Amino acid sequence: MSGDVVVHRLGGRLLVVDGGPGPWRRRSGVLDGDVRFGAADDRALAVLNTVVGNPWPTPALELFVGPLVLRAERAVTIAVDGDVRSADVPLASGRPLRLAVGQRVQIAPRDLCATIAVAGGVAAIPGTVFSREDAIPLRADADADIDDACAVAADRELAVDDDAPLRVVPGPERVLFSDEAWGAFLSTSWVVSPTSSRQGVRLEGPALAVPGGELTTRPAWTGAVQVPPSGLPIVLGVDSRTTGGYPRLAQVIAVDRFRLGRARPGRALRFTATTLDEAHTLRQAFARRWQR
Amino acid sequence: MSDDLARVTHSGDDALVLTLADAPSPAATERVVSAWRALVEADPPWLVQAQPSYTQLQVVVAADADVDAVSAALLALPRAGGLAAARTITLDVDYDGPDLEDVARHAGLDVAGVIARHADRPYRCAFTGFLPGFAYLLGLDEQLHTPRLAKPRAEVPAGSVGIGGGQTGVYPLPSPGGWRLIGRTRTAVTPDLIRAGDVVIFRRAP
Repeated sequence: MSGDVVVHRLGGRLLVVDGGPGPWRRRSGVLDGDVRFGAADDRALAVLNTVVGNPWPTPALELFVGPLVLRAERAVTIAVDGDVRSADVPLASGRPLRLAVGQRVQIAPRDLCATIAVAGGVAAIPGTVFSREDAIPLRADADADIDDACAVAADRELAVDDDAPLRVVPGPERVLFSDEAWGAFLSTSWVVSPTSSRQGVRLEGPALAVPGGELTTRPAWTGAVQVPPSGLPIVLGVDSRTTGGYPRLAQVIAVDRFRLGRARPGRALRFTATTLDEAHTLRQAFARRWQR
Repeated sequence: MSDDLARVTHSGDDALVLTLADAPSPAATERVVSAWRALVEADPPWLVQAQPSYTQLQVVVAADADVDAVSAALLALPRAGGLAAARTITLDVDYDGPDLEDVARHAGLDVAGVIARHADRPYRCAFTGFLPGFAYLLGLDEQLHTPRLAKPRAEVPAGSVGIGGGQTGVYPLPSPGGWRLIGRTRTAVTPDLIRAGDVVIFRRAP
């Protein structure tokens, strides 16, 4: 630990997140695989860590709702996906920002959450929540070697078309649903419910026809589109339980799940079908470029 | 190691599912839990997360995983010998849950009848999941089988005892949940209190 950034002012919630359960955590021995707290916006986590020279999946900060003012107690490099300003002057989102000792930056999400990566990484376990005047412990600053090509590519990667549909593949229980229900799911413009959370995004719209009968509980994972008897889908979020008993009509593909994490209540979400091959190709390409 | 029943299927683009039985049973539990334990112990680099259930083992795999090699590795997992010696855990329950009367109505019983059929009988833990320490219990009286809520609750209090279809269990932590809540235990359900194969008995709190 070589110095700190202090939470000067905070609205909303400031949470430490990483890539969620995985071999990286088991190697670090910090948390067991059942504990979640992966980044809601895992795309921003990967891209911003790359921008500041950190390996995947170095812990970063997730600001929910906001706003936040950070005060640098030492020189530090950060990268932010969100609205970021210093003394009311806008700074570039997705670019490395060198903060001088005593400098303050104001950060607010463009949508529901903003992600903040720090060169070297945050030295706290995922799930840690910070409050006003807390000092955020940092790992030794790697004093990253930043290349501009990376930052330009990062801009492109973080520019999100909020109107584009999220891509899905059929879920394991798709066969239990009618073709009409599948078609209605894909043609509806759903609205994110205010009761959504990191555990699940609840969708409002016309109820889908649901299969009768009860399933035994089975494994489930982030991105699963469950349809309870109400007919209103719930898309499992980054902190979702790893089992469930409602039938899964679809599964949002891995590279599009970050959009669930950043969707604020009231936002419209649409879905479109893709293939497993396409989903695998996209996931591998993203991981090769940004999750190293 | 392979047999006709075992198969691997996709679940979305980052998970594979190994199915080892057609229906829940103690034999299915031994197969699934043995495979799960062996996988977790081997800790292959492609493994992101593993979740057992009554008949299936789900593995979430890393982006660079070779799906064919992972499938072969899953089919080669041992299917016996992985269950620890069974223990018996008794939980004292206050049967006063918000859905107790709905469960009674669905069963065509009165509340006392529901309690009599739920308490003082052995349930066997098939697997844990959902939350750390959430045990899925087999052995619920058929008359008490009750559909899950049409709309799950946003928060179920820790210690709540619920019925979900033909299953019963305890929420160890506050969580969203769709099971019918019939009571609450004051015993702290820690992540390793109930393991697969253990016997659980609910006792009406004095």
